[in-house]
Amino acid sequence: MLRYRDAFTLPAIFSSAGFLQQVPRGSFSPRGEGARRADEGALLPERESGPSPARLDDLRSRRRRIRGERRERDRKSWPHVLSPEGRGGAESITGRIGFGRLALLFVLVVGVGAGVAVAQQPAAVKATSLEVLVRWAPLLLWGFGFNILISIMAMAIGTVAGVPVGIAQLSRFKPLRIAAGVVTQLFRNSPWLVLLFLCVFLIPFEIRIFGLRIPFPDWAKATMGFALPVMANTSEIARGAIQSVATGQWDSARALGLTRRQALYLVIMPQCVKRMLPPWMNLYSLVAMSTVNASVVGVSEMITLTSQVHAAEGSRPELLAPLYAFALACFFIYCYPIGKWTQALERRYQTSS
Amino acid sequence: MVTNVQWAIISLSLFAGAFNIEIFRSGIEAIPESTVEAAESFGLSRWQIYRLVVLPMAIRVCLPALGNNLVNLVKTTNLAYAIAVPELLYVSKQIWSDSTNVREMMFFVLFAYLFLVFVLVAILNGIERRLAIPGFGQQGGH
Repeated sequence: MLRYRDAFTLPAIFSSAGFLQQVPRGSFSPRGEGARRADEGALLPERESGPSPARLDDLRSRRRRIRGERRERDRKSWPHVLSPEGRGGAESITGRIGFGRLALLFVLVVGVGAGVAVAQQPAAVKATSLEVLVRWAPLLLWGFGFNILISIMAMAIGTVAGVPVGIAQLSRFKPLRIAAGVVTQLFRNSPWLVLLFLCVFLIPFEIRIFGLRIPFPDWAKATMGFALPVMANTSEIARGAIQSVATGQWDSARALGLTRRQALYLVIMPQCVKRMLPPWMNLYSLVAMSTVNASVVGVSEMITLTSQVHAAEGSRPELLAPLYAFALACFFIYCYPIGKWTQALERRYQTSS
Repeated sequence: MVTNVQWAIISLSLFAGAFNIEIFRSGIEAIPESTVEAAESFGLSRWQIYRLVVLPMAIRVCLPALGNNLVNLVKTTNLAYAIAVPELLYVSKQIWSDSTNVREMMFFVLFAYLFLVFVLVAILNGIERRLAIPGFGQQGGH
Protein backbone atom coordinates (compact mmCIF):
# COMPACT_ATOMS: atom_id res chain seq x y z
CA MET A 1 0.00 0.00 0.00
CA LEU A 2 2.96 2.24 -0.55
CA ARG A 3 1.27 4.55 -2.98
CA TYR A 4 -1.74 5.11 -0.75
CA ARG A 5 0.55 6.23 1.96
CA ASP A 6 1.88 8.93 -0.26
CA ALA A 7 -1.56 9.87 -1.37
CA PHE A 8 -2.27 10.49 2.25
CA THR A 9 0.82 12.35 3.30
CA LEU A 10 0.41 14.70 0.37
CA PRO A 11 -2.78 16.34 1.50
CA ALA A 12 -1.25 16.67 4.93
CA ILE A 13 1.82 18.35 3.55
CA PHE A 14 -0.22 20.58 1.28
CA SER A 15 -2.45 21.54 4.08
CA SER A 16 0.31 22.32 6.47
CA ALA A 17 2.01 24.47 3.85
CA GLY A 18 -1.09 26.53 3.25
CA PHE A 19 -2.35 26.41 6.77
CA LEU A 20 0.54 28.26 8.30
CA GLN A 21 -0.84 31.60 7.36
CA GLN A 22 -4.22 31.32 9.00
CA VAL A 23 -3.99 30.09 12.49
CA PRO A 24 -5.67 32.29 15.08
CA ARG A 25 -8.70 33.32 13.11
CA GLY A 26 -11.98 33.49 14.91
CA SER A 27 -14.41 33.83 12.07
CA PHE A 28 -13.69 30.46 10.60
CA SER A 29 -12.92 28.21 13.42
CA PRO A 30 -14.95 25.18 14.30
CA ARG A 31 -15.87 26.64 17.63
CA GLY A 32 -17.17 30.02 16.69
CA GLU A 33 -17.78 32.26 19.64
CA GLY A 34 -15.40 30.76 22.12
CA ALA A 35 -12.51 30.85 19.77
CA ARG A 36 -12.94 34.44 18.86
CA ARG A 37 -12.16 35.39 22.38
CA ALA A 38 -8.51 34.54 22.01
CA ASP A 39 -7.96 37.26 19.51
CA GLU A 40 -9.94 39.93 21.18
CA GLY A 41 -8.15 42.98 22.31
CA ALA A 42 -10.17 42.89 25.50
CA LEU A 43 -7.63 40.48 26.86
CA LEU A 44 -4.93 43.01 27.04
CA PRO A 45 -4.53 45.58 29.76
CA GLU A 46 -3.53 49.12 28.91
CA ARG A 47 0.12 49.82 28.43
CA GLU A 48 1.73 51.62 31.27
CA SER A 49 3.40 54.87 30.48
CA GLY A 50 4.55 56.09 33.88
CA PRO A 51 8.13 55.77 35.09
CA SER A 52 9.10 52.52 36.69
CA PRO A 53 10.32 52.40 40.28
CA ALA A 54 13.67 50.99 39.24
CA ARG A 55 16.33 53.65 39.41
CA LEU A 56 19.54 51.93 38.52
CA ASP A 57 21.21 53.45 35.51
CA ASP A 58 22.42 50.31 33.88
CA LEU A 59 19.02 48.77 34.30
CA ARG A 60 17.52 51.81 32.68
CA SER A 61 19.70 51.78 29.66
CA ARG A 62 19.11 48.09 29.23
CA ARG A 63 15.40 48.60 29.49
CA ARG A 64 15.51 51.41 27.00
CA ARG A 65 17.13 49.14 24.51
CA ILE A 66 14.74 46.28 25.19
CA ARG A 67 11.79 48.59 25.04
CA GLY A 68 12.86 49.91 21.68
CA GLU A 69 13.04 46.43 20.32
CA ARG A 70 9.75 45.45 21.83
CA ARG A 71 8.01 48.54 20.60
CA GLU A 72 9.14 47.72 17.12
CA ARG A 73 7.87 44.19 17.56
CA ASP A 74 4.59 45.25 19.15
CA ARG A 75 3.94 47.67 16.37
CA LYS A 76 4.02 44.69 14.06
CA SER A 77 2.21 42.18 16.19
CA TRP A 78 -0.36 44.13 18.15
CA PRO A 79 -2.76 45.22 15.46
CA HIS A 80 -3.89 41.68 14.80
CA VAL A 81 -4.31 41.01 18.48
CA LEU A 82 -6.28 44.17 18.92
CA SER A 83 -8.46 43.95 15.84
CA PRO A 84 -12.09 43.51 16.85
CA GLU A 85 -12.93 40.76 14.40
CA GLY A 86 -9.83 38.91 15.42
CA ARG A 87 -8.70 38.52 11.86
CA GLY A 88 -5.04 38.06 12.35
CA GLY A 89 -2.86 40.17 10.18
CA ALA A 90 -0.01 38.31 11.73
CA GLU A 91 2.90 37.83 9.50
CA SER A 92 3.14 34.13 9.16
CA ILE A 93 6.13 31.95 8.68
CA THR A 94 5.44 31.81 4.99
CA GLY A 95 5.06 35.54 4.95
CA ARG A 96 8.63 35.93 6.11
CA ILE A 97 10.13 33.49 3.70
CA GLY A 98 9.88 35.62 0.61
CA PHE A 99 9.79 34.56 -2.96
CA GLY A 100 13.49 34.04 -3.43
CA ARG A 101 13.70 31.48 -0.70
CA LEU A 102 10.41 30.05 -1.82
CA ALA A 103 11.83 29.38 -5.26
CA LEU A 104 14.85 27.81 -3.60
CA LEU A 105 12.60 25.60 -1.52
CA PHE A 106 10.67 24.55 -4.59
CA VAL A 107 13.82 23.68 -6.50
CA LEU A 108 15.00 21.78 -3.45
CA VAL A 109 11.80 19.73 -3.20
CA VAL A 110 11.79 18.78 -6.84
CA GLY A 111 15.53 18.34 -6.86
CA VAL A 112 15.52 16.01 -3.85
CA GLY A 113 12.71 14.07 -5.42
CA ALA A 114 14.59 13.71 -8.68
CA GLY A 115 17.84 13.03 -6.85
CA VAL A 116 16.31 10.19 -4.87
CA ALA A 117 14.98 8.82 -8.10
CA VAL A 118 18.32 9.07 -9.87
CA ALA A 119 20.15 7.50 -6.96
CA GLN A 120 17.81 4.54 -6.96
CA GLN A 121 17.84 4.18 -10.71
CA PRO A 122 19.28 0.86 -11.79
CA ALA A 123 21.66 1.21 -14.73
CA ALA A 124 19.15 -0.01 -17.24
CA VAL A 125 17.36 1.38 -20.27
CA LYS A 126 14.30 2.43 -18.30
CA ALA A 127 13.09 5.99 -18.68
CA THR A 128 14.48 8.47 -16.17
CA SER A 129 12.12 10.17 -13.81
CA LEU A 130 12.45 13.42 -15.75
CA GLU A 131 11.42 11.71 -18.96
CA VAL A 132 8.49 10.13 -17.19
CA LEU A 133 7.46 13.48 -15.78
CA VAL A 134 7.72 15.21 -19.14
CA ARG A 135 5.78 12.44 -20.83
CA TRP A 136 2.95 12.48 -18.35
CA ALA A 137 2.92 16.16 -17.42
CA PRO A 138 0.01 17.02 -19.75
CA LEU A 139 -2.18 14.35 -18.20
CA LEU A 140 -1.18 15.28 -14.67
CA LEU A 141 -1.75 18.96 -15.33
CA TRP A 142 -5.12 18.12 -16.80
CA GLY A 143 -5.88 16.33 -13.56
CA PHE A 144 -4.74 19.39 -11.64
CA GLY A 145 -7.06 21.54 -13.73
CA PHE A 146 -9.82 19.18 -12.71
CA ASN A 147 -8.93 19.76 -9.06
CA ILE A 148 -9.18 23.48 -9.61
CA LEU A 149 -12.49 23.09 -11.41
CA ILE A 150 -13.91 21.06 -8.53
CA SER A 151 -12.68 23.58 -5.99
CA ILE A 152 -14.11 26.57 -7.88
CA MET A 153 -17.48 24.92 -8.38
CA ALA A 154 -17.65 23.77 -4.76
CA MET A 155 -16.77 27.27 -3.65
CA ALA A 156 -19.41 28.83 -5.91
CA ILE A 157 -22.16 26.47 -4.77
CA GLY A 158 -21.09 26.71 -1.16
CA THR A 159 -21.00 30.49 -1.18
CA VAL A 160 -24.32 30.93 -2.94
CA ALA A 161 -25.91 28.59 -0.40
CA GLY A 162 -23.89 29.70 2.60
CA VAL A 163 -24.41 33.46 2.66
CA PRO A 164 -28.22 33.19 2.93
CA VAL A 165 -27.78 30.59 5.68
CA GLY A 166 -25.44 32.99 7.46
CA ILE A 167 -27.99 35.79 7.19
CA ALA A 168 -30.68 33.38 8.38
CA GLN A 169 -28.60 32.73 11.48
CA LEU A 170 -29.33 36.32 12.47
CA SER A 171 -32.99 36.22 11.53
CA ARG A 172 -35.54 37.53 13.99
CA PHE A 173 -37.75 34.55 13.21
CA LYS A 174 -36.65 32.03 15.80
CA PRO A 175 -37.29 28.70 14.00
CA LEU A 176 -35.36 29.92 10.95
CA ARG A 177 -32.52 31.11 13.15
CA ILE A 178 -32.32 27.79 14.95
CA ALA A 179 -32.54 25.76 11.75
CA ALA A 180 -29.76 27.77 10.12
CA GLY A 181 -27.63 27.41 13.24
CA VAL A 182 -28.12 23.65 13.35
CA VAL A 183 -27.29 23.24 9.66
CA THR A 184 -24.17 25.34 10.07
CA GLN A 185 -22.91 23.53 13.15
CA LEU A 186 -23.74 20.13 11.68
CA PHE A 187 -21.67 20.57 8.55
CA ARG A 188 -18.96 22.60 10.16
CA ASN A 189 -18.19 20.09 12.86
CA SER A 190 -18.18 16.96 10.78
CA PRO A 191 -15.06 15.82 8.93
CA TRP A 192 -14.78 16.77 5.27
CA LEU A 193 -13.97 13.24 4.24
CA VAL A 194 -17.12 11.90 5.87
CA LEU A 195 -19.24 14.49 4.09
CA LEU A 196 -17.52 13.55 0.86
CA PHE A 197 -18.33 9.88 1.42
CA LEU A 198 -21.87 10.81 2.32
CA CYS A 199 -22.39 12.66 -0.95
CA VAL A 200 -20.61 10.18 -3.15
CA PHE A 201 -22.43 7.16 -1.80
CA LEU A 202 -25.85 8.60 -1.13
CA ILE A 203 -26.51 10.84 -4.13
CA PRO A 204 -27.94 8.76 -6.99
CA PHE A 205 -25.82 8.54 -10.13
CA GLU A 206 -28.57 10.05 -12.23
CA ILE A 207 -31.65 12.11 -11.62
CA ARG A 208 -34.78 11.89 -13.74
CA ILE A 209 -36.91 14.95 -14.07
CA PHE A 210 -39.89 14.69 -16.43
CA GLY A 211 -38.31 11.81 -18.29
CA LEU A 212 -35.12 13.85 -18.69
CA ARG A 213 -32.10 12.03 -17.44
CA ILE A 214 -29.52 14.15 -15.75
CA PRO A 215 -26.41 12.09 -15.14
CA PHE A 216 -24.59 12.81 -11.93
CA PRO A 217 -20.99 11.72 -12.35
CA ASP A 218 -18.56 11.04 -9.55
CA TRP A 219 -16.86 14.39 -9.69
CA ALA A 220 -20.17 16.25 -9.48
CA LYS A 221 -21.04 14.31 -6.36
CA ALA A 222 -17.60 15.05 -4.94
CA THR A 223 -18.18 18.73 -5.70
CA MET A 224 -21.37 18.57 -3.67
CA GLY A 225 -19.39 16.87 -0.94
CA PHE A 226 -17.00 19.79 -0.79
CA ALA A 227 -19.76 22.34 -1.17
CA LEU A 228 -21.44 21.26 2.08
CA PRO A 229 -18.61 22.18 4.46
CA VAL A 230 -17.94 25.28 2.36
CA MET A 231 -21.55 26.29 2.84
CA ALA A 232 -21.31 25.88 6.60
CA ASN A 233 -18.05 27.78 6.83
CA THR A 234 -19.27 30.58 4.56
CA SER A 235 -22.34 30.81 6.71
CA GLU A 236 -20.20 31.38 9.77
CA ILE A 237 -18.00 33.87 7.93
CA ALA A 238 -21.07 35.80 6.83
CA ARG A 239 -22.55 35.76 10.32
CA GLY A 240 -19.28 36.91 11.85
CA ALA A 241 -18.93 39.70 9.30
CA ILE A 242 -22.47 40.95 9.82
CA GLN A 243 -22.07 40.88 13.58
CA SER A 244 -18.78 42.72 13.36
CA VAL A 245 -20.45 45.74 11.77
CA ALA A 246 -20.99 48.35 14.45
CA THR A 247 -24.52 48.54 15.86
CA GLY A 248 -24.54 52.23 15.12
CA GLN A 249 -24.77 51.40 11.44
CA TRP A 250 -28.06 49.59 12.02
CA ASP A 251 -29.35 52.44 14.16
CA SER A 252 -28.45 55.13 11.66
CA ALA A 253 -29.95 53.08 8.84
CA ARG A 254 -33.18 52.93 10.79
CA ALA A 255 -32.95 56.64 11.45
CA LEU A 256 -32.87 57.14 7.69
CA GLY A 257 -36.16 55.27 7.48
CA LEU A 258 -34.83 52.06 6.00
CA THR A 259 -36.51 48.79 6.88
CA ARG A 260 -34.44 46.03 8.42
CA ARG A 261 -34.15 44.28 5.08
CA GLN A 262 -33.13 47.46 3.30
CA ALA A 263 -30.60 48.22 6.00
CA LEU A 264 -29.13 44.75 5.58
CA TYR A 265 -28.81 44.92 1.81
CA LEU A 266 -27.99 48.60 1.37
CA VAL A 267 -25.90 49.39 4.43
CA ILE A 268 -24.61 46.30 6.22
CA MET A 269 -23.84 43.82 3.45
CA PRO A 270 -21.71 46.20 1.35
CA GLN A 271 -19.48 46.64 4.39
CA CYS A 272 -19.41 42.91 5.00
CA VAL A 273 -18.01 42.03 1.58
CA LYS A 274 -14.72 43.60 2.55
CA ARG A 275 -14.61 41.81 5.87
CA MET A 276 -15.61 38.48 4.42
CA LEU A 277 -13.07 38.43 1.62
CA PRO A 278 -9.90 37.38 3.49
CA PRO A 279 -11.44 34.46 5.43
CA TRP A 280 -13.34 33.47 2.32
CA MET A 281 -10.14 33.28 0.31
CA ASN A 282 -8.54 31.29 3.09
CA LEU A 283 -11.43 28.90 2.84
CA TYR A 284 -10.90 28.68 -0.89
CA SER A 285 -7.27 27.65 -0.58
CA LEU A 286 -8.34 25.12 2.02
CA VAL A 287 -10.89 23.71 -0.42
CA ALA A 288 -8.35 23.66 -3.24
CA MET A 289 -6.02 21.62 -1.05
CA SER A 290 -8.81 19.34 0.09
CA THR A 291 -9.85 18.36 -3.41
CA VAL A 292 -7.15 15.68 -3.34
CA ASN A 293 -9.40 13.90 -0.84
CA ALA A 294 -11.58 13.09 -3.82
CA SER A 295 -8.96 10.56 -4.90
CA VAL A 296 -10.08 8.43 -1.95
CA VAL A 297 -13.49 8.01 -3.54
CA GLY A 298 -12.06 7.41 -7.00
CA VAL A 299 -12.57 10.72 -8.78
CA SER A 300 -9.90 10.95 -11.48
CA GLU A 301 -8.20 14.06 -10.16
CA MET A 302 -4.51 14.71 -9.91
CA ILE A 303 -3.53 12.29 -7.15
CA THR A 304 -5.58 9.47 -8.68
CA LEU A 305 -3.93 10.13 -12.03
CA THR A 306 -0.52 10.30 -10.38
CA SER A 307 -0.96 6.86 -8.89
CA GLN A 308 -2.23 5.57 -12.22
CA VAL A 309 0.76 7.05 -14.01
CA HIS A 310 2.98 5.41 -11.44
CA ALA A 311 1.29 2.09 -12.09
CA ALA A 312 1.58 2.59 -15.86
CA GLU A 313 5.32 3.12 -15.52
CA GLY A 314 5.65 -0.24 -13.83
CA SER A 315 5.18 0.92 -10.23
CA ARG A 316 8.89 1.53 -9.89
CA PRO A 317 9.52 2.82 -6.35
CA GLU A 318 12.07 5.38 -7.55
CA LEU A 319 9.32 7.17 -9.46
CA LEU A 320 7.19 7.76 -6.38
CA ALA A 321 9.09 10.76 -5.07
CA PRO A 322 9.31 12.77 -8.31
CA LEU A 323 5.71 12.12 -9.31
CA TYR A 324 4.27 13.16 -5.97
CA ALA A 325 6.73 16.02 -5.65
CA PHE A 326 5.35 17.28 -8.94
CA ALA A 327 1.81 17.12 -7.58
CA LEU A 328 2.93 18.87 -4.40
CA ALA A 329 4.66 21.57 -6.40
CA CYS A 330 1.54 22.21 -8.49
CA PHE A 331 -0.62 22.71 -5.41
CA PHE A 332 1.98 24.80 -3.67
CA ILE A 333 2.41 27.10 -6.66
CA TYR A 334 -1.34 27.49 -6.87
CA CYS A 335 -2.12 28.00 -3.19
CA TYR A 336 0.84 30.04 -2.02
CA PRO A 337 0.04 33.20 -4.03
CA ILE A 338 -3.56 32.98 -2.83
CA GLY A 339 -2.28 32.93 0.73
CA LYS A 340 0.00 35.91 0.11
CA TRP A 341 -2.80 37.81 -1.55
CA THR A 342 -5.09 37.08 1.39
CA GLN A 343 -2.50 38.44 3.79
CA ALA A 344 -2.09 41.56 1.71
CA LEU A 345 -5.85 42.11 1.67
CA GLU A 346 -6.04 41.56 5.41
CA ARG A 347 -3.37 44.14 6.05
CA ARG A 348 -5.00 46.64 3.74
CA TYR A 349 -8.49 46.29 5.15
CA GLN A 350 -7.21 46.36 8.67
CA THR A 351 -5.70 49.80 8.33
CA SER A 352 -8.54 51.28 6.32
CA SER A 353 -11.44 50.06 8.42
CA MET B 1 9.59 -0.70 9.87
CA VAL B 2 7.07 2.02 10.46
CA THR B 3 3.50 0.78 10.43
CA ASN B 4 0.61 2.61 8.85
CA VAL B 5 -0.70 3.72 12.20
CA GLN B 6 2.68 5.20 13.05
CA TRP B 7 2.83 6.93 9.69
CA ALA B 8 -0.55 8.45 10.37
CA ILE B 9 0.61 9.64 13.80
CA ILE B 10 3.81 11.11 12.38
CA SER B 11 2.21 13.00 9.51
CA LEU B 12 -0.69 14.25 11.58
CA SER B 13 1.75 15.43 14.24
CA LEU B 14 3.63 17.43 11.66
CA PHE B 15 0.36 18.79 10.34
CA ALA B 16 -0.97 19.85 13.72
CA GLY B 17 2.44 21.00 14.93
CA ALA B 18 2.63 23.53 12.13
CA PHE B 19 -0.47 25.20 13.52
CA ASN B 20 0.63 24.98 17.11
CA ILE B 21 3.83 26.86 16.34
CA GLU B 22 1.84 29.80 15.04
CA ILE B 23 -0.63 29.60 17.91
CA PHE B 24 2.08 29.68 20.57
CA ARG B 25 3.89 32.48 18.79
CA SER B 26 0.81 34.67 18.70
CA GLY B 27 0.01 33.78 22.31
CA ILE B 28 3.44 34.76 23.56
CA GLU B 29 3.43 37.92 21.51
CA ALA B 30 0.08 38.86 22.99
CA ILE B 31 1.61 39.31 26.45
CA PRO B 32 2.03 43.04 26.91
CA GLU B 33 5.44 44.56 27.27
CA SER B 34 4.55 46.24 30.54
CA THR B 35 3.85 42.89 32.18
CA VAL B 36 7.31 41.65 31.30
CA GLU B 37 8.82 44.90 32.50
CA ALA B 38 6.98 44.66 35.78
CA ALA B 39 8.39 41.17 36.22
CA GLU B 40 11.85 42.50 35.37
CA SER B 41 11.56 45.16 38.04
CA PHE B 42 10.86 42.42 40.57
CA GLY B 43 14.30 41.11 39.72
CA LEU B 44 13.21 37.93 38.03
CA SER B 45 15.60 36.36 35.59
CA ARG B 46 14.68 35.90 31.95
CA TRP B 47 13.86 32.24 32.46
CA GLN B 48 11.84 32.98 35.58
CA ILE B 49 9.87 35.65 33.77
CA TYR B 50 9.17 33.23 31.01
CA ARG B 51 8.16 30.37 33.27
CA LEU B 52 6.24 32.27 35.95
CA VAL B 53 4.71 35.18 34.07
CA VAL B 54 4.65 34.90 30.31
CA LEU B 55 3.88 31.25 29.85
CA PRO B 56 0.93 30.97 32.27
CA MET B 57 -0.70 33.94 30.59
CA ALA B 58 0.21 32.88 27.08
CA ILE B 59 -1.31 29.45 27.60
CA ARG B 60 -4.60 31.03 28.59
CA VAL B 61 -4.51 33.24 25.52
CA CYS B 62 -3.67 30.26 23.31
CA LEU B 63 -6.17 27.87 24.77
CA PRO B 64 -9.15 28.57 22.49
CA ALA B 65 -6.96 28.40 19.40
CA LEU B 66 -5.29 25.22 20.63
CA GLY B 67 -8.69 23.73 21.23
CA ASN B 68 -9.69 24.67 17.70
CA ASN B 69 -6.65 22.94 16.40
CA LEU B 70 -7.44 19.84 18.41
CA VAL B 71 -10.99 19.73 17.08
CA ASN B 72 -9.66 20.15 13.58
CA LEU B 73 -7.19 17.38 14.17
CA VAL B 74 -9.92 15.02 15.33
CA LYS B 75 -11.76 15.76 12.12
CA THR B 76 -8.60 15.19 10.10
CA THR B 77 -7.68 11.83 11.62
CA ASN B 78 -10.10 10.10 9.32
CA LEU B 79 -7.73 10.86 6.44
CA ALA B 80 -5.79 7.90 7.83
CA TYR B 81 -8.47 5.92 6.04
CA ALA B 82 -6.44 6.42 2.87
CA ILE B 83 -3.54 4.39 4.25
CA ALA B 84 -5.70 1.59 5.62
CA VAL B 85 -5.47 2.53 9.27
CA PRO B 86 -8.38 0.78 10.98
CA GLU B 87 -10.06 3.95 12.24
CA LEU B 88 -13.77 4.72 12.35
CA LEU B 89 -14.28 5.37 8.67
CA TYR B 90 -12.21 2.41 7.55
CA VAL B 91 -13.95 -0.01 9.89
CA SER B 92 -17.31 1.38 8.81
CA LYS B 93 -16.42 0.77 5.22
CA GLN B 94 -15.56 -2.82 6.03
CA ILE B 95 -18.92 -3.17 7.71
CA TRP B 96 -20.93 -1.64 4.90
CA SER B 97 -19.18 -3.63 2.22
CA ASP B 98 -20.01 -6.76 4.23
CA SER B 99 -23.60 -6.04 5.08
CA THR B 100 -24.45 -3.45 2.36
CA ASN B 101 -25.91 -0.91 4.75
CA VAL B 102 -24.10 2.12 3.38
CA ARG B 103 -26.70 4.66 4.36
CA GLU B 104 -27.01 3.60 7.98
CA MET B 105 -23.26 3.34 8.45
CA MET B 106 -22.68 6.70 6.75
CA PHE B 107 -25.04 8.46 9.12
CA PHE B 108 -23.62 6.57 12.06
CA VAL B 109 -20.12 7.76 11.17
CA LEU B 110 -21.34 11.33 10.73
CA PHE B 111 -23.04 11.40 14.09
CA ALA B 112 -20.20 9.60 15.80
CA TYR B 113 -17.84 12.35 14.69
CA LEU B 114 -20.29 15.06 15.64
CA PHE B 115 -20.67 13.50 19.07
CA LEU B 116 -16.91 13.27 19.44
CA VAL B 117 -16.43 16.90 18.46
CA PHE B 118 -19.15 18.20 20.74
CA VAL B 119 -17.84 16.24 23.72
CA LEU B 120 -14.37 17.55 23.01
CA VAL B 121 -15.62 21.12 22.76
CA ALA B 122 -17.46 20.75 26.05
CA ILE B 123 -14.34 19.44 27.76
CA LEU B 124 -12.20 22.22 26.32
CA ASN B 125 -14.69 24.86 27.40
CA GLY B 126 -14.59 23.35 30.88
CA ILE B 127 -10.80 23.55 30.94
CA GLU B 128 -10.92 27.13 29.76
CA ARG B 129 -13.33 28.02 32.53
CA ARG B 130 -11.26 26.26 35.17
CA LEU B 131 -8.06 27.97 34.11
CA ALA B 132 -9.64 31.39 33.81
CA ILE B 133 -8.01 34.08 35.94
CA PRO B 134 -10.42 36.69 37.29
CA GLY B 135 -9.79 39.98 35.57
CA PHE B 136 -7.71 38.52 32.79
CA GLY B 137 -9.63 38.42 29.56
CA GLN B 138 -13.19 37.20 29.17
CA GLN B 139 -14.95 40.44 29.63
CA GLY B 140 -18.66 40.51 28.95
CA GLY B 141 -19.49 37.49 31.06
CA HIS B 142 -18.95 34.43 28.91
